[in-house]
Amino acid sequence: MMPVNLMEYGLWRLLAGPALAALHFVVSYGATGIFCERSDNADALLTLRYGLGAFTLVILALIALVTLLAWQQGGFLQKAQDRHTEDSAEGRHAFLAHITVLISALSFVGVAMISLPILLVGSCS
Amino acid sequence: MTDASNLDPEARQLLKVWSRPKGWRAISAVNNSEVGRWYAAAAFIFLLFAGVLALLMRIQLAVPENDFVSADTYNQLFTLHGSIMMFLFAVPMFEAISIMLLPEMLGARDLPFPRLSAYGFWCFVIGGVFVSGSIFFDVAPRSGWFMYPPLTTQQSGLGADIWLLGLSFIEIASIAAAVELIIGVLKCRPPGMRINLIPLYAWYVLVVGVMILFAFPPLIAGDLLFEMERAFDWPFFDVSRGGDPLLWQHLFWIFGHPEVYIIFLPTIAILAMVIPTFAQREIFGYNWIVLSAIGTGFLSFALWVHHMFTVGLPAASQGYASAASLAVAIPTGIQLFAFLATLLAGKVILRLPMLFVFGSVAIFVLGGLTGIMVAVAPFDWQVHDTYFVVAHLHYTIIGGMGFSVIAGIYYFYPAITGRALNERWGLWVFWLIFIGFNITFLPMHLTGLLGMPRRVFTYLPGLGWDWLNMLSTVGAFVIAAGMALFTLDLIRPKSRHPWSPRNPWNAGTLEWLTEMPGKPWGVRSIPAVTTRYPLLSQPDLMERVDSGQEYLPDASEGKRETLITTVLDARPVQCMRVGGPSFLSLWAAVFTGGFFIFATFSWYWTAFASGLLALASILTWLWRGTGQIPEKERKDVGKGLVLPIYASGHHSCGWWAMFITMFADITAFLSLIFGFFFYWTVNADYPFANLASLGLIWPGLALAGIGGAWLLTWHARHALDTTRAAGQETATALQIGIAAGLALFGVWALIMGPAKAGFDPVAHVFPAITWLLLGWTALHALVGVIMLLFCIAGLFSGRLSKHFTADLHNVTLYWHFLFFTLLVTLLTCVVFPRLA
Repeated sequence: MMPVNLMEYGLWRLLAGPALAALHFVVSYGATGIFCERSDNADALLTLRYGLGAFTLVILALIALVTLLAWQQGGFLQKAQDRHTEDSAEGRHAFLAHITVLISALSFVGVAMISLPILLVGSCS
Repeated sequence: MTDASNLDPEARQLLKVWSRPKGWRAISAVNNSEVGRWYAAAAFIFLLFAGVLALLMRIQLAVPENDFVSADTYNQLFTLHGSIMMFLFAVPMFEAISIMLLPEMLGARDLPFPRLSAYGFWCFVIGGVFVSGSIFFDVAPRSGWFMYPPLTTQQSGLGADIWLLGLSFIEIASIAAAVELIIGVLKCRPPGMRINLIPLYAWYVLVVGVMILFAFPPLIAGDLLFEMERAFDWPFFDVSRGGDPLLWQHLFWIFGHPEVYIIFLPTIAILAMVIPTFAQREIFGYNWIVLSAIGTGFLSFALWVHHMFTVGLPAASQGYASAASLAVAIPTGIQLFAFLATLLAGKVILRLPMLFVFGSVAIFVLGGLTGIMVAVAPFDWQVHDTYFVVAHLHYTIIGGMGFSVIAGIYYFYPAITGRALNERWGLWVFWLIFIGFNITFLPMHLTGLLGMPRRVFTYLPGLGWDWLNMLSTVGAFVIAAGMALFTLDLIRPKSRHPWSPRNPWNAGTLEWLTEMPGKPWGVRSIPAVTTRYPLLSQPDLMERVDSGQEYLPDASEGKRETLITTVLDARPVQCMRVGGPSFLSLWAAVFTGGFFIFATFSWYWTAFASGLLALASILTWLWRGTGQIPEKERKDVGKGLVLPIYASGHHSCGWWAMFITMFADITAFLSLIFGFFFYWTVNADYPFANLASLGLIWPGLALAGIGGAWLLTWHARHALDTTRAAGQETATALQIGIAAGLALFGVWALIMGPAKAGFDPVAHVFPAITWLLLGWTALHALVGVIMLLFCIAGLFSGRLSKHFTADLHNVTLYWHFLFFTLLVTLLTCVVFPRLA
């Protein structure tokens, strides 16, 4: 049973970006740890780099999608931003959409930054 | 205190219901204002104690080859200094301030579970005194606040056990506070305070509460592994038997780094309340600050490896932590820029709290900049474990936390006590601490770059460290002078001082509705809110609140009540009854403390007996204090609004508390699962072909027993909810009884698996972690059985029936989590070894 009042547009979707970023981090960190402990050779690392590179692109695309959806819901329009302090369901909605855009964008930057080492670092040691 | 003579009868009744117990019974108080004040005072005393320990260290280091204290005493000093500052001051201070002020900011009468706050407070005090007091018996922990094995697992004496058990106990208080505060923010807001209108402080509390749920449980899991090794020789960190000390470092820092942000964010939240008041305008970039709070919160979990740059992890793994450490500067910077923009755009009044705000920002930024330096792994390799890191961490923590907390104390003191602190003294306090701080810690950057390692009790002359250390010692005493003056101002009797004017800083948020002196009821009536700064933009709000024209102006049934509202739009949905004064939380904390403290001395039977008493106290507390059947279904809360008094399922705060607690529980469990797979990555032949397998029969029976109990409980709840037939209660009791029996059978089968297969937990880490995971699940199932028995008793006594189902809803929720635990345990311990 899900808490009904959280199923509206809002808190769960706001967390989608951070959740995807967290997933990306756990998979990247875990896969690197396992690959480097188990088979520290150039071929294995290349596989890891391609694998994680592709995975990163998928995650970035998903975060971009979340951001775009929130944007379309009025997340970044000035007209909507003026309503953020409004005492109305629309004001709350515009506010949450804006926060979702911001937090997803930060997640995007975070994922991009965290994926750089595996693309740039050529060996485990 | 409070004068009831000039109040109308309605207000007098309200005052009577919320009045504090008198005399020695005062310690049974549970109201947020009392517990919050005690909490803050206790945390402040621990701060002073840890400060004295620091001064002793500085005396020892003032000159080379000093013999003021021995090496062993010095080890105890720095270990306790760090541990107390982090566990007994920084985190509890956040909890204290939040318990004290959050309900006021939300116009609530109290938090939803006042007795839980009191329980957390008493746990904190008992555990804190136990850990701190150990130094007087020369048995304090002595291996650094992070307790790295194998030094600590092989060390004799009680020190490490005191740290592990004493602090595990205090972590319970933190999780209790997190449960309380998260629900406080989500469900106890005043009508109309939609999620886009809440005070920024509440946003930070929400983020930090969630962070605690992810950060503290890994440490609790680590403590469990650690104590099992120390007490029973299960080899979790012993390399010769397949263990690995690095697992501790991972678990510790998965807690330890977010912990830094757990103490930093709430104090930044104080700045977010102080700055708009003195800038005389609303905060600039509210949304961006919310972004920063959430962004810092989640990014901070990717940083822990930067404490482990020198342990030989793969280069890419270090790279991730390095990148994440740089990325976290983005949200941190955003909130500081938002603050600066607010100040630039407003008309700033320079009062004392603002001075501490400026001090905080200046020092924190310096600490942040050295943070960027140590985030770069090659630089960190050079300065790791030197005084450079000591300087860095003190700049971030004292800058980010220390100065902002003092700013907050000066700012909120009138709201808490009704009187203001002395601003002239305050100027002295500020300059002594600010100058003293920089004299102490600025030179440490250089001491570190010159190569002085941390945690050495003395050093040779002529290495270029002498004058720098002397300077740091002088500075430490200047800080101490400032703190002494501050303490004096806090504790000196103020009965002759005039009461502060109401809302003395002309702030806009609800905590300033408080009267001078404050009354125990929080607010006379709970206002409807339509803006972010209601006191400034809703003109006659204060009068309406004071004259009882807003919601819930009475307590005509003689019960303590507060309003519960919906998460997003704060629509009122329930008039919830909250617990009043009680010794039960105190007893529960004393016995819980006994369990941990006796275990430290390996008096296991006494510990077990104390644990049983703790369980009995908690059950009595739940039975007598929660889920009470109201004498009527609904109550008129004023302004034409009639609300239900009783709620169950996800409408009730109890359900949310169970959800959040179990979330923390699952995090601890997943940390243990992480351990299982961590051993797999470091051991080539794990999980060991030469060990017998658990087989499929016993685990299968366990799955059938506990899984069956889960399904039956779920079904019983559903049937009780939906039935129209009379007498369903008896059928439900029967179903739950069968479920309890099935669960006990499952527990037996769970234990029989490794017992029959001859798993020896001392021999190797694989049988040890298998036993631990199965034991964890079995223990949870036993707790689940106790809950079922509680429900059966409820069904027979009438507190649980088809009209009042809260207990069974909460217990079913527990069982959902329990079944998840069982499933993951079996997949890990039974299925994975067959595949690997």
